[in-house]
Amino acid sequence: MAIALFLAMTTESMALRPEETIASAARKVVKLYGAGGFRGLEAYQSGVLISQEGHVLTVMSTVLDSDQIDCVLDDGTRYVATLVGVDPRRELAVLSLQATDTPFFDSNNIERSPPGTRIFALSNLFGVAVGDERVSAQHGVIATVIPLAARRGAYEAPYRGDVYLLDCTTNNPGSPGGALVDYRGRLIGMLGKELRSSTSGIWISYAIPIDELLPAYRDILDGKSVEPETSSLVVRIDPTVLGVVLLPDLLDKTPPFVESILPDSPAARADVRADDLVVAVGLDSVGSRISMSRALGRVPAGDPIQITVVRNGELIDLDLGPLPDTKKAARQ
Amino acid sequence: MITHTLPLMTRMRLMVSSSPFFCSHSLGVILGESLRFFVFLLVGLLCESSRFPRLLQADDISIEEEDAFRTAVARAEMFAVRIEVIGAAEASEDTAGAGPSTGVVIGTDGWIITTSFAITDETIEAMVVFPDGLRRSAKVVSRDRSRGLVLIKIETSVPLRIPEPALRQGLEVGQWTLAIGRAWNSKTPYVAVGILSALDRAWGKAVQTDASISPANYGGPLCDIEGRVIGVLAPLPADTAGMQSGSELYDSGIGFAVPLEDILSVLPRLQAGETLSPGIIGIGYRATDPFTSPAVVATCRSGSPAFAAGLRSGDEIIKAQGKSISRIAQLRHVLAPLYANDTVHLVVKRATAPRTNNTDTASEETFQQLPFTVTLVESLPPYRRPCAGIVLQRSTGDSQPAIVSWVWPNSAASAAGIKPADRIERIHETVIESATQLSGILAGLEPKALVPFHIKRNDTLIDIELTLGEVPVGVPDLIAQADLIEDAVQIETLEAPEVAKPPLAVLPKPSPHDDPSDDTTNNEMPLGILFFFDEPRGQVDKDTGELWRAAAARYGVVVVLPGSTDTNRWGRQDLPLVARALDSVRSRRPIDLSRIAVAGRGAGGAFAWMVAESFGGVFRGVALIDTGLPRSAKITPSDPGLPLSILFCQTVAQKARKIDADRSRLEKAGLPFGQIDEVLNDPIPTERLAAWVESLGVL
Repeated sequence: MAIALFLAMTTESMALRPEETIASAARKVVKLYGAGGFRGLEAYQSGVLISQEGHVLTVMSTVLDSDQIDCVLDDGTRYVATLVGVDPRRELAVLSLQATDTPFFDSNNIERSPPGTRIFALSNLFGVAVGDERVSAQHGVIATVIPLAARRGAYEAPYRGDVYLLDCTTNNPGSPGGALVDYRGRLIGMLGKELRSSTSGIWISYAIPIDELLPAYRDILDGKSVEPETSSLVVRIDPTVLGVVLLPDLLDKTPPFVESILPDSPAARADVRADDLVVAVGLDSVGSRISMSRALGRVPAGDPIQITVVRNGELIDLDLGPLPDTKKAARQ
Repeated sequence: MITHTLPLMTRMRLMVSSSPFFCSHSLGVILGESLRFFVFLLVGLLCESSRFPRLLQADDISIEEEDAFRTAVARAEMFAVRIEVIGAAEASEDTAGAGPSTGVVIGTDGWIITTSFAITDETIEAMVVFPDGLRRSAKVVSRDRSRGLVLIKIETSVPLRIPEPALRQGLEVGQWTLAIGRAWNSKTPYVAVGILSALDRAWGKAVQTDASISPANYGGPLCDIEGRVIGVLAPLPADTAGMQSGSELYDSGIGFAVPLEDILSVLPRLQAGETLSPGIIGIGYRATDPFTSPAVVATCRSGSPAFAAGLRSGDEIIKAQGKSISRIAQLRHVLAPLYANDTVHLVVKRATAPRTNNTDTASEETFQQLPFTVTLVESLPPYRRPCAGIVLQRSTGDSQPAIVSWVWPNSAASAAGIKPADRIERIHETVIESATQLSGILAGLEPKALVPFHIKRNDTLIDIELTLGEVPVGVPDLIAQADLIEDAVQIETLEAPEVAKPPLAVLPKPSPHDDPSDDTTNNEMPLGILFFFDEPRGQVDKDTGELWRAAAARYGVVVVLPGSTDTNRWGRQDLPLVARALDSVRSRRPIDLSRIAVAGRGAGGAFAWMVAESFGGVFRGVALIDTGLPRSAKITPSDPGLPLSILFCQTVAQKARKIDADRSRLEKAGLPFGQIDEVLNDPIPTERLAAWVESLGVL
């Protein structure tokens, strides 16, 4: 009876004290040393042990552009790691230590964690942990889960999927590849590279959810090559093709005020009027001429275009019908 | 195999060490593996009793808190909405109004509060976006300029969810706080967790949290762990926390929230469209340290609400809104959260007997307590310095008698018959011990006050009453001149290691003081200082210095002629030399601090103004020759503690018209100014400028 009770507790709902969670998880986070160390590029980063066979997940970076990648465990054991493969789209790299006796995160069946989830970030930020020193632990919560593309400002990162944004400052030199674990000690994400908004200059702290990385990890192990996504050129569509003539672009962010409507155009038929302020294309809010042409470019070919305008303080939805065949025309 | 068992064993040990039956962790370590397993069994058996679930709960605090976080977030999601704006400020360095932000619903019929960070004065259109994608155009109803909040209104057919406020009274430093934002995404909220760091910050306007507060959640709610709203996250507006703008605190571990309770208490005023501004009472205090000194009124200007209510200089405020006040800081805590049009109830302690410096009579002083009700205002009329029109003999410090050197023509003093060599003994009942003290007393009086002067003339005491007037600016003909001893003037270069183009200084020899009653050993007359910035042309040659020799000697003024680092322009890089030269001159000659001035011609005029603004309080006068105020000039409003006057001087006739625009700017700031015209076609009016430096001593 007692044993049965025990087994139930130890396997599933076992609650660890935060100190114990960190102690157990930190043993599965490694310090990586490789190329760099000049012109502001660090020669070190972090990684997580992910398999019984000694595979390490980390972030694809210049650190790995080295003849020798050193991997140091929390007990000071040093391995020479070999690069198994990379996924440029997720900036993911898989290393092998060819060791079978290292601890590792069991990351199967980990579901997405909602905002408010408490987390520990474990990484060798700023390279402060050396030799047999354990990586640094930070605490916080998952602030939100959003696609990296749909954030404030514009970040130059190839990854376009969901990320966990964190409410603590985790993304520093050395921390890419570090572990994001929940208070139950489960690996829920991997810390990404330092990113900052090119418009607002705000640094963001984020991790890529583990469930976004595992399929790519398996593909790499299976030897499937992953090609970088062809650069997705943002198509911009000039609203004049719909008959909407906007105020000239006098400033960087001229609001999309309608100056005039071309006769016998989709806009004229939909009753768009001069002095309307366009505030949304479909569900995308637009604040400037440029964002409006980008939003138009995102509407799938053939889909009806719906815009929202402000007229005398009222929000009015207008249906302009499908886009005239300009994408084709543009290509020709 | 090992990798699988290790975590299991770890967990087993953890259970042991945290059970109430084993106080010491070391016990678990001492026991061997097999022994440990038996202990494990033993614990397991014991756990069948009711004790075990309690043990597990204790371990689960972190997880329970996490559940509470998520529940609170789910609750807050209902009243935290996204705000989108169009027509943001174009200024690239300021992120205000640049992107989506957050707001809190505070009225079921569509009232939403957000910050002026989200909706600036330039915002053309604001929209509220709900998590389901529903968009509503919002009308800006009113602003709270004291706390940087904006009330907006949307039309809604269904009642909106509003939060339950967490009352101020129940708040405790250290409790969990959750900051919710919608700036990143309209569907998923953004959560930052921290603790309440302080109550009553920014003089009572805000509470403080260590949760990460940034544009991602400005305007959003700061919730307690139950999802009740403590306040609205806001970058506090300028100077409330001693900083230029609250958004400087981004990412610093310091975030502020305006208590919802406070917002709700003024909601009817905001809903009625009233713009709430910080309330001003119009009192200056005598002491400089607000944390140790009692709230004794030093200045209480006419036109201020405090003066209108009946407060006077010398009153000590001992009660405000029913709270006892023993220090200035306590009074600030009461006053700072108040708005213009708010009333404040004060009790002051006022001496009934006239104050004197005689210690015997001071003990007989009696006090009365007087209640006053003051209605605060949004802004005060500019301060206008009152002036008697007397010019005292030069002095270097505090303890020299106030002896009249000359009297400004057509001034209050000349009308009342004050004459050169009169010694000012008392004003009202206050004994005058120095020129500095006299200047301070006059600065605090009303512009047209009738002031009794007690004067000693030829060993006779005379009482003279005069009505104060405005500060005259100009160069009266009768300014005293010293004997012309040009040979005593030295022209030197003020070398300084880090100054590329060291300035030339024209240094007169101080003449003996002409006051026979002054028997102090050092009876040299202190000098004035004039910095003259000409059109920029690099190093100044000695011949230019010669032009100033006579003027410097006649009026006892050290003239400093700096060279520009860049031969084509004056710039910020030339500012350090001013401080250097000031130090250097003061170490060589006795200086009268009330007669330090700066003048500039053409492009040098704009730089002269920059020098006066950068060294606030050092320069008493700015002369602008053939130029007006620089268009971008910052004009600090007139202040009792910072006497400054401006002289316009035209040497070329057609440039004269520019002054009209400057005139209204200076009048608005309450700064005295004047113009001298008689110097037309005199390239550098050296004599007039040196005489003007002497005239700056007018009180």
